[in-house]
Amino acid sequence: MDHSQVWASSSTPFVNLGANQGIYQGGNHVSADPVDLTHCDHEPVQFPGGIMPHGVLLLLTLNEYRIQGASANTLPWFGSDAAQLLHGHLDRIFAPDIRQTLETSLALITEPQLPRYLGSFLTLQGSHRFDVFAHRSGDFFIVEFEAITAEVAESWPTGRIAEITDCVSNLHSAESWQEGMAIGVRELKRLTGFDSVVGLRFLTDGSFHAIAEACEAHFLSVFDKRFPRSDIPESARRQMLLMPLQYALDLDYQPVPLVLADQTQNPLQIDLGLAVLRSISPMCRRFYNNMGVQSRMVISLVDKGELWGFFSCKNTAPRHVTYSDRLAFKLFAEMSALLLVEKERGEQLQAALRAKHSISQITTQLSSAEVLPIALGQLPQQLLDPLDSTGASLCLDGQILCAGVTPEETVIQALIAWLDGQPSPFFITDRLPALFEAAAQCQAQATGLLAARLQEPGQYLLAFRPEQVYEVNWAGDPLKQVEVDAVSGEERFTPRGSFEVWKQDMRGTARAWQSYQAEALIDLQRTVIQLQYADNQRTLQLRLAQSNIELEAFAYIVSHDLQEPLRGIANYAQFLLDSSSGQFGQQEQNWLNTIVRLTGKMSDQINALLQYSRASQQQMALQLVDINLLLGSVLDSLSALIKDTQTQIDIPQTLPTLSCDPIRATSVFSNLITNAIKYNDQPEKHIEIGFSETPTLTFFVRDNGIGIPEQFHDAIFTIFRRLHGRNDYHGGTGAGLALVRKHVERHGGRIWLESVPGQGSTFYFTLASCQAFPSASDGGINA
Amino acid sequence: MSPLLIVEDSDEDYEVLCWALHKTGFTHPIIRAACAEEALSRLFPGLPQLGGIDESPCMVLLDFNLPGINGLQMLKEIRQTKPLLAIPIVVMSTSNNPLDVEACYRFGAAGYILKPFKLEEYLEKIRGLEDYWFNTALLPECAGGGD
Repeated sequence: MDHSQVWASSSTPFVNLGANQGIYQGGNHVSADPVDLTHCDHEPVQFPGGIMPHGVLLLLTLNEYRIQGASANTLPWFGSDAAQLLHGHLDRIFAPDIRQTLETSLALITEPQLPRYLGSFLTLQGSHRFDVFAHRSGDFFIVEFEAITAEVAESWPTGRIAEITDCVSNLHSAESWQEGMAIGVRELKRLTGFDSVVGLRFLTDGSFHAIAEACEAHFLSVFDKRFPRSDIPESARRQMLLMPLQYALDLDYQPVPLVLADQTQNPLQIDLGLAVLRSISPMCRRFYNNMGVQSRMVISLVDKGELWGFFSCKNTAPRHVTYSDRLAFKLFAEMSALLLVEKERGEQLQAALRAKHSISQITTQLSSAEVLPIALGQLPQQLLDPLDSTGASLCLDGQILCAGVTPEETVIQALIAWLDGQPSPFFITDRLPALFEAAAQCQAQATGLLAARLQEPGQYLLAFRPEQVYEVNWAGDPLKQVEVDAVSGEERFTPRGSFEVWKQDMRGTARAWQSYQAEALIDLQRTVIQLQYADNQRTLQLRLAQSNIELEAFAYIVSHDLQEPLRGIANYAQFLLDSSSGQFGQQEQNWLNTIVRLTGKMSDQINALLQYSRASQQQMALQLVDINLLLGSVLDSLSALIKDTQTQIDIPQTLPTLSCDPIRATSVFSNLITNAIKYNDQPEKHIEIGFSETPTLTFFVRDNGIGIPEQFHDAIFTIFRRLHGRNDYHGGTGAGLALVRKHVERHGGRIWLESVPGQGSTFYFTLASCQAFPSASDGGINA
Repeated sequence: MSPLLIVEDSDEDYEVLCWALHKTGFTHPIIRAACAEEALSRLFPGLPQLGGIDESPCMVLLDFNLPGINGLQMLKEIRQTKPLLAIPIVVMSTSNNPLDVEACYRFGAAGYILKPFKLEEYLEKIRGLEDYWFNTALLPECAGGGD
């Protein structure tokens, strides 16, 4: 047996983690038992060739109900020996009417299934009364007869049912499934009268654990002991699923062989898997013998077709249990299985839900945190409870924050470096020292580890569990089950002779993590990574915004300060011109005039730059504005230009009233209209201004001007970018469209254009923060 | 005659201003402060008078863009000193930012003039300034002198 194998806590079965999550499960796997137990697994328990002596078994043909085989013990029960019964019918044993009843019942059994109870009947001799069961096996009906002795004949089914009902009610009141099992064994002991009733739970590695026990003082207790997988071989497990209740009146018996009519047939070929009287495997009998058990009853607890656990009832002396009682116990076991499994699932679900709830609370806190790193700093403390860990650490940007019991910082640093080398961003183990050497010095803090890598390598959430130095109390030495056969030299499983406690130290292991705990951390990992990403984005945006603000402030200050010397240059050039008339020639005067003109130009550009940077710096002053009125005043201020150029302006629609910054909106319309007039060489200049409401409120200014080639559709919005010579199309500073775009963007809107060179352009823009209101002309609010 | 106080850090701008005042026949004595601190020390009573002029100015021409305490801050200072409230202060600035203009008036400026780029405009503006403040309006006799 692999000693490093990981066990769940004594009360909780090991929960295997979903392997499909791409999780590297360091050491958290259940390894296969290395001992070859195939001999046992293949032991033909279904084909023992004989039965237990407390009843009689007959084989009948399927169509004529002719007796083709019988157990060799018919004489004392039926008054005839097996050979006499062969080839005959049931009327050799029962009265004709009973034969008729039995054969009619047999005719209804068409498929192999659990033995059907046909009733209790008296034999012809009238000396014995039998419970009769029948089922199909291969080409036969197997009919079994269990004698009802005087002592047990008084059992009263209604009383039993009342008792079972009470027991089930008691089970309901259990706080946990373990307590439920304790109640179960107590009740079962009272009902059955067996010396010992033990409730056992299978673990995922196939071993099983005595969870609850009710037993007489003289009986060897196995409470809280573990039994290795090999104690119940595979064939016996199959049998436990097949026959949920197996009963042996007295294990100290000689099997009764089968006598068959067909001499060529071997009794060992008869499948007795479903037979109530099937003889128990000699190995199993030895096993119980070694424990001092004479009578036993095993009732399986099955969940969804799998063995969940079982009740094992043992008695030091033979003990009669009638069929009707067994039926009642089976019913009780079935109810118990339902309740216990449900309780266990409920407990796991509760724990998982609690963890999930805690994690979702943490997630909510993190999501609403103003400063993410500060909020993350509380994680180690917050993780302890939901992950049920004794220590937790957060490693972020070289800083290690810890809560609870954790390894020293240098060890954590080494651990992080090691984790960075692991392929998966999530790591789970309950025996870290076996995987990571440096952990050997801190087993008391970090033997169990859950690790979740965050956004960057080196960033981790870690949860620790200490080494759990505990002992597994095996019922006997689990290793001493393999004996070397003296003759063949083969290794062979033998039932143990001793059930004294054999302690096994489980050093180097921590309590196993539950799958929901791993899942909770994975959830949290996902959230933190998303938040880190969002936080990074926000920081970048803030930096960008800050840098933009600084840049614009810089532009403002610089341009302001540039104005002064520039004006000085202009002034002194004019002083020179004024005071030196006659001294300079025409050429020199032209030069001085050029200085004055160029400084004027530069001053205009600096002013444009100032205006542009102001467009960013100044606060938005939103108010309800009737665009009809706003456009009216824009056109008023441009009236001289419009008149001079004889431009026709059409506003076919009534424009909306909306919330915007009127000064900026004025600048937008004014610049777009001015451009539409300036960049137009048509004899009849024409401008249309309007809007459309779908998909969003979009204004447009359309002209029949010179148009703009598509490759320049972006460039024209760049400050001082010009497509034409300085003095073509009435000059200008080259800042107009840049300013327009800035104003539009400050509204949260966008601007674009469609244009055909030579035919005209249409500029579209939205003012996204704007909400349209009914126009003033529709009785709306006037700006 | 009460002097005119010009608060101007730029020598060139001061020279152009003086040139324009001279050209337009301005006769009041002119005193210059190269920064707001100096101007305030002249205006506040009780402080040692500098430059040999012990008379309070009848008017202040204040450059907006000053090193140290800027024009706007100086306006605020003056606003808090009751006796000085009587002196009209006209701001001269290169900034046509509406917010700057508004702020100056809010803090008690009597006028706001954009520094012109062309000498003719300069002359025109100074002439207008004189016409109003020195030929049309009445100025306080000795603002800030008494209590």
